[in-house]
Amino acid sequence: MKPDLTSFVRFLRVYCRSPLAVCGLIGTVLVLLAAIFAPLLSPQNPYDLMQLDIMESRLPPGETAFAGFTFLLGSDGQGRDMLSAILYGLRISLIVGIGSAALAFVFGTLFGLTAAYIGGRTETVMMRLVDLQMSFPTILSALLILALMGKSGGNVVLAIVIVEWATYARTARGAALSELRREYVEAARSLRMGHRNIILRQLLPNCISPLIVLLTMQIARAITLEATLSFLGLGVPITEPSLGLLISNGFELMLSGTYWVSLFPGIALLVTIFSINLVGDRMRQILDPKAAQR
Amino acid sequence: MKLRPILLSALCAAALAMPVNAEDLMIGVGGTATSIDPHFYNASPNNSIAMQIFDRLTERDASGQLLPGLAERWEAVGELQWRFLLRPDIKWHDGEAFTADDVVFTFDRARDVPNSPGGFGGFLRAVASVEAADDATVLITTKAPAPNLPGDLANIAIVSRHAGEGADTSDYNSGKAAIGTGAFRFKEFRQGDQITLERNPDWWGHDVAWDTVTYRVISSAGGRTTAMLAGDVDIIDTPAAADLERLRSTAGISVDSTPGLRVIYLVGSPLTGAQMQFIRGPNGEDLSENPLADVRVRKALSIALNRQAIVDRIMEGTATASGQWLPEGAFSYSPDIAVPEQDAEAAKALLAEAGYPDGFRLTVHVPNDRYPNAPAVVQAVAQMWTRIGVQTTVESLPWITYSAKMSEFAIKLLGLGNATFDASSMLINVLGTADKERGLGASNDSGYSNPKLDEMTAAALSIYDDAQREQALIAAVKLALEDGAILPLYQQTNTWAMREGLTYAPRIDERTLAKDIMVK
Repeated sequence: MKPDLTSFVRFLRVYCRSPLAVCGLIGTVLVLLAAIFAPLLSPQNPYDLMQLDIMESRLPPGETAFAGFTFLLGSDGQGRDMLSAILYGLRISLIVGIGSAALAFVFGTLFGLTAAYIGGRTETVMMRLVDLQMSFPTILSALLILALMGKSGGNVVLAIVIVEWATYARTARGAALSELRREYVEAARSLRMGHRNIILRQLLPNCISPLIVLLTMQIARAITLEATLSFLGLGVPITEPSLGLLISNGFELMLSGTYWVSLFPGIALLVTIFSINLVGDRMRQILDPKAAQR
Repeated sequence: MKLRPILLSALCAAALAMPVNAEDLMIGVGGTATSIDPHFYNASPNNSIAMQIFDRLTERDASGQLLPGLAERWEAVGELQWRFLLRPDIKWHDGEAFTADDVVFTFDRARDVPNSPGGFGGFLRAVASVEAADDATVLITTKAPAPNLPGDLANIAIVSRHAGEGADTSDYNSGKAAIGTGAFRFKEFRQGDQITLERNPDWWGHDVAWDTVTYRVISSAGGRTTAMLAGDVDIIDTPAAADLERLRSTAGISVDSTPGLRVIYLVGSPLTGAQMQFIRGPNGEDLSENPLADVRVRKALSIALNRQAIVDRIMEGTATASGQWLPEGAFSYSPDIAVPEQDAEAAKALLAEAGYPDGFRLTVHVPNDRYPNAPAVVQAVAQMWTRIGVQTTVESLPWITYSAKMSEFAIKLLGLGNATFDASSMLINVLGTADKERGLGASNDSGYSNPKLDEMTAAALSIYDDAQREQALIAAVKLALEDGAILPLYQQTNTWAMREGLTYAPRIDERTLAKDIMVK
């Protein structure tokens, strides 16, 4: 079951049959590159208060800064260059989104696999815990967690992990239940392989496809969730805005015609989520056996 | 057609049944009145409502001038007594007669309302006893000379003994005890949503234009502007600075404003307890002393700020930059105290002199849901402080968390409404050394203490001669500012937007009073 180069190329070939999905992939790669190389691409470090000047606040796109560069997308209420703020904000949004989705993936998957493997009453108790978690509205529990723990970048990640892990657990358990009946698991058992080995070496690789699909979708969800929390003022610190906070900053200015403070971060968020979702959708079509049959 | 006469008579009947000039007023307000009980919480939204259902012995007009209220006249009887002569023939909303005994009852009640988050006891600080000499005369004995008493009493709503005896806050909220003498009667209170009042035809004051008044709570500034533009409301308070241009340029809407009494200021703590987690050395190390305890550091932080730029760029002209806590024209405002000029070089020199040539790290706290644009203002402050070497981090919190933790912060942004219309509420409540016995420092959560200032404040407030008292207060203000006790930033401008055809004299104390909203 190990992925080798030829199967990856085959996967890519199948993937590229959908032009929309290719657009999504290109978008995702561009967004990732923009985030990674933000310090090189930005004319200004928007988090360095020394480089900001409120005398340059709310300039429309095209104005020239004291420092010599041009505000290509205008500046916000603090005199931040919007382009720089979006690139840096994209970084925070992606780090928080990918980081929390990955953590939730690891924890949720192990939880689900273990539950399925142990079975019996333990499984029931573990899965009822998952049900309990999933019955709370996502935003509500995230707000509650942040209100209790105080806000910081780390706590936002933690809050998202706490509200998202259950989805992985449920998917992992479902996949594992059907795999557990297969002969290779029985073979591994009869070879007296350790429990941990069976879960990690045998079960996990065979349950991974639906989980990878889920992960791609959940990254986009986590980014949206972070943006929502920041928009509500519970996310990152106000001097280091993520995309959601940038949108929120510009929200009050919308009626007065200062459209660029909200609009451009909004477009950036839209492109990011849309691209990742396109990729996720295509992966689901290829990897999910039920979808592939259609 | 046989129907016609029937229709006509029905129309006539309808016309007769309706008052000839049935006028309804819809007001969009940002702040939520938390109770109808006029002694429950001393906050502008609550007072706006209380000022219309109830009256006070003395009243303030839009610019803060003292006027007769339920008391027609008042006079000092010796150093320690005031005599208030009540207006005759005043009726409560339920028809009972208003007497001096109701005032006695009010003074007992207002001092201490259970569960009050911030009551009116401070205004009655000086009162030793109250008695009804006859039905129309109230005698108030004070503990010490109290020349400010008539002004302080403009904050105490007079409630009736017959409806208020034994009633608690919930009885006022339900309307059972909300029997006043004011321009409007209580009709309905839905907390956080809306309050409805109806005209009191027997009110003793000026003509009121409205039969029914509804206060609708629209807490987001954008929401208020949208409601105004859509014509859902007739008047709104505190529109966002960014929306003013749009409102002014819209046909059928006019905007009016006045410099307000509320000052926004930064206050640092000289203490070395929990504060030290928010003050670190230039590389994040522990500091053994609190730099903010040094007056040179406080001065450096003050002159690092460009107040005019903050007012122009962030408040967009909805505030007036200031170096003191009262607006121009107020009692005990001093024209000699200029707005501090920004001077980053001098600020750095002061820091070096105080022993911090490399600056330090500072976290400044700001509430994100209380004062307009405050988080943006503090970010600008952080820019300016970082430029002189004080690496500043901004932490913004909702008011409910903020107010609970306030005393732990190193430096924070706050506002004060100057409810006494002179320098004394800041001097007594915020800057006075915290001391319950002496009624000082009720809101002093920074730990600031200056015995000399306390002495000057007490001395100033016992002077009966207005001109002399003003000079003494100004001297105390100057001492506090030279000591950098607080760093005043600006006074907020109070703004209202209303539909064409209405006029409202903008109030210095930010209250929105339907009784004073007139039709042109």
